Amino acid sequence: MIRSIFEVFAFEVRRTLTPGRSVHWLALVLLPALLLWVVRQQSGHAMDVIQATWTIYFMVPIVSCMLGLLLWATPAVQSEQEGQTWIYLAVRPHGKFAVVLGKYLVAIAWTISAGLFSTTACILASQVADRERLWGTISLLVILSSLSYGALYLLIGVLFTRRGIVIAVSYTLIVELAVSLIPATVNKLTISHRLRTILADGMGLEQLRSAAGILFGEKGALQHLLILLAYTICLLIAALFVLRNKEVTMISES
Amino acid sequence: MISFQHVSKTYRTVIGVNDLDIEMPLGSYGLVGPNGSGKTTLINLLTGGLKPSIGKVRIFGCDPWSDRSVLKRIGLCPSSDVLYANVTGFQWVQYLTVLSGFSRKDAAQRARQCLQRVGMGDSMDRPMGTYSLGMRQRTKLAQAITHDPELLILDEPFNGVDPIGRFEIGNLLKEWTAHGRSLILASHILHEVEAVTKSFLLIHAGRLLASGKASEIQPMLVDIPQEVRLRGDGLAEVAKRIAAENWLVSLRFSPDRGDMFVAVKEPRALYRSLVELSRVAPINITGVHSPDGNLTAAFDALLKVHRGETA
Repeated sequence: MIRSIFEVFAFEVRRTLTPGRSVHWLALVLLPALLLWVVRQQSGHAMDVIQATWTIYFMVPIVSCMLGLLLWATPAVQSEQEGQTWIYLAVRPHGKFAVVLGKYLVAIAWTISAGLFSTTACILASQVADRERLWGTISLLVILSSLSYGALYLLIGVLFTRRGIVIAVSYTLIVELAVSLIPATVNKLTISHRLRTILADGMGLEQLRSAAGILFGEKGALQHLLILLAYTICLLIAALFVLRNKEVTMISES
Repeated sequence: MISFQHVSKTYRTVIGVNDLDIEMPLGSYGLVGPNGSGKTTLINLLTGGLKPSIGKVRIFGCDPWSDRSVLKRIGLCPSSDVLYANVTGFQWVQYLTVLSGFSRKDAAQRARQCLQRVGMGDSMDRPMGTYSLGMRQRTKLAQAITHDPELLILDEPFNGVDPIGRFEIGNLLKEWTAHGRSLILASHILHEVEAVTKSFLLIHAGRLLASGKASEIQPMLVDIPQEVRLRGDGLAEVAKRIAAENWLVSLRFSPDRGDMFVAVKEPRALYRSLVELSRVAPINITGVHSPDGNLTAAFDALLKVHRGETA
């Protein structure tokens, strides 16, 4: 099983090394940094820490990671089904599980690598003070965001093999971007609420926390980190469970 | 042993297979039926891709839906095409062999051997996007046999393959069965299956219509009512002379009157009459098209017999 997962990972990585996908990766790395560089050039001075923190947080662990994962994790099954290759994988003893877990690993590796390079480029472009702390916090958030959103989108893709990306985008806009900002207990159910809290803890944003406490969780980044990891594991198990009991066959039947 | 115990599979309101009840020892079988008859559904049930709506499927004594380990003993060459354009045939077959439980080194060796065996030795390192349909079919066959399965299931393996390729693949399959290994070959073309195996399962509209050896099925098709198409000169004369025969069911001409369609209870009687007529009347028959190779017509005829519509 483990060997099969890593074989899928290696096979998919080889397939991703195409000019088109490399340009996509580069765009995710460079676009946020380019935007920050333009902002800094127009203002004529280095960005302050809070402004840079929120801008980089929104552009990298949230938007870049989400975009990357939407395109990589969500169509894990759909792309094989459309390419008519699913049947060849599904008739291997651990084929179904190996494919989705292998593709999940590719999705998070691709997104984390783009996110870490992008974070570095953004911090260099913004010329912000306290760079090491900001880099460490945002990098942690890139990893957590990739793991948890990757698992979420994988589950959505397994549940909805036809319109997975549309549903994942709708879910993200409604739940992760809108509901997470509602000042009520319901926002604790979202990934972005946990990420925001870890960001506030990591960067010591105490003033912000006291002004808009309900938007952040309780203090203690470790607790939120563990919740996100548990959330990730639960989502992956749910995806495998759904896949185990789902009939996914060839598109054309005779 | 392959066993379908009163298996039905429905897709919402559509019936894929209907009350299949078969027990057959492992061996070599042709699964024959027109397009849309339920062959692929049956194969998906056998390989655990589908769960029966009703009934039980067993292969090697296991339920393929819940016991995935049985898949190691099965090789499947589906009818669907492969669309990994930038991956070489060798990389793809090696990849699937690793997923069957082999190490990368063993998988590479097996992949090369199998690709050479199916005649892809010279092209295995080219991207599959450059392959012809026939080359893709051969590569698909290689991935099905690379883990040395006990049962090989092929769904329309001759699609797109040139005559030489058909001959070579046919020989490979004959060699496969000659070594005592099991085979299920699904096709809608009777003579292709017949070249490989003599045992048939005839499936139509999700139902098992007939099963047995070719020698048992062919006489059934000959003696049941069939529509024969005649082409040539003097067809009107033929029509006049056979009109009163008791074996004639119906008779009609094509709009240009170049073809005549004769539905008969006993095709052999028609053929005898044509020979006799050609001696005594000014007719020149240039073409006789019987439905022997046309399974849809044969199945229609069999269904009529099953429904009691004809004697």
